[in-house]
Amino acid sequence: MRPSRFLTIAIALVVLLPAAALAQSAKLNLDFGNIGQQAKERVDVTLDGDMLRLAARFLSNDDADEKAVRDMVGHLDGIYVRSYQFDKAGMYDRAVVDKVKAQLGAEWKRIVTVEKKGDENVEIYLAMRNDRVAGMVIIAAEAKELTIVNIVGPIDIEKLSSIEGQFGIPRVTKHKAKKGDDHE
Amino acid sequence: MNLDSELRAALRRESPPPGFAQRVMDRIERESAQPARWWRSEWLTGRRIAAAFALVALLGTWTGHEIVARRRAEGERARENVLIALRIAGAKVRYAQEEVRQIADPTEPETERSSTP
Repeated sequence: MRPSRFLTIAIALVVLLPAAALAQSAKLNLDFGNIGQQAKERVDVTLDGDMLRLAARFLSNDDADEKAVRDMVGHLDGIYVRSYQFDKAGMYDRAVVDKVKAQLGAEWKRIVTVEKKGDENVEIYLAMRNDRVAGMVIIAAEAKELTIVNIVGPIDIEKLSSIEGQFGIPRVTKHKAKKGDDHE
Repeated sequence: MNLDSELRAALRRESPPPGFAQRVMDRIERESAQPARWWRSEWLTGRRIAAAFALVALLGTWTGHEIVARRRAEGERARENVLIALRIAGAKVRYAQEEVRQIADPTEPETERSSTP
């Protein structure tokens, strides 16, 4: 092999490997076995970088909301969602949550924890590299529902939170329960 | 002269003129190299090639359409999945943000927030 070609390959490896390692580090293993079989409803989304870029081509450029999503996903390397809804409480193994947390290394920082007794508990983790967000994990666990979201790449949380309720899907309102009310 | 001798004279055996066999062979050779036959052979080959091209073009077009249709279906499915995934993620983040705001400012009335998707 000629020295110049060897040098080119070496430089490419030095440049590309950390980027690949960074992208890989923010991606978690969300294989939870047969948990979905007991679920009443399940959402299983697996989109790697190639699929995201493909999806971005099909998002409208004229619609402002879709354009925002298009801009957002264009920089991402993956979106993985596992969401399960169960008929009864306690139908899933809480060890699943521990399995996810066990994968979060030193670069992961917990930025939000919401714990409400009998309500939804949400934890949000960010993977930080050089003061930049390299990935995000959302763990939302309640008695009858479990949702794990893993986003790989630089995600803008403010933009993400503004997405819900768009695309013609109305937000379902949830008011403070009055005394005696047993519904939401 | 009677009929018998006339017939005998008419049907008597005669040798071909000199060079007859050579002339026949030359003519056969000339005819085998005639342009009409060459043209016909080329024409048939051309038809076969054109048919092959047409078949390849047809198959290519059909395959291309299939690939584009499959890619479009994949893209539409990916688009739907992106919207679902981001809606779920957005709902959770928004829920957490509003809970944090509630803690920071308990006097703020609880605004509408989404149910879990």
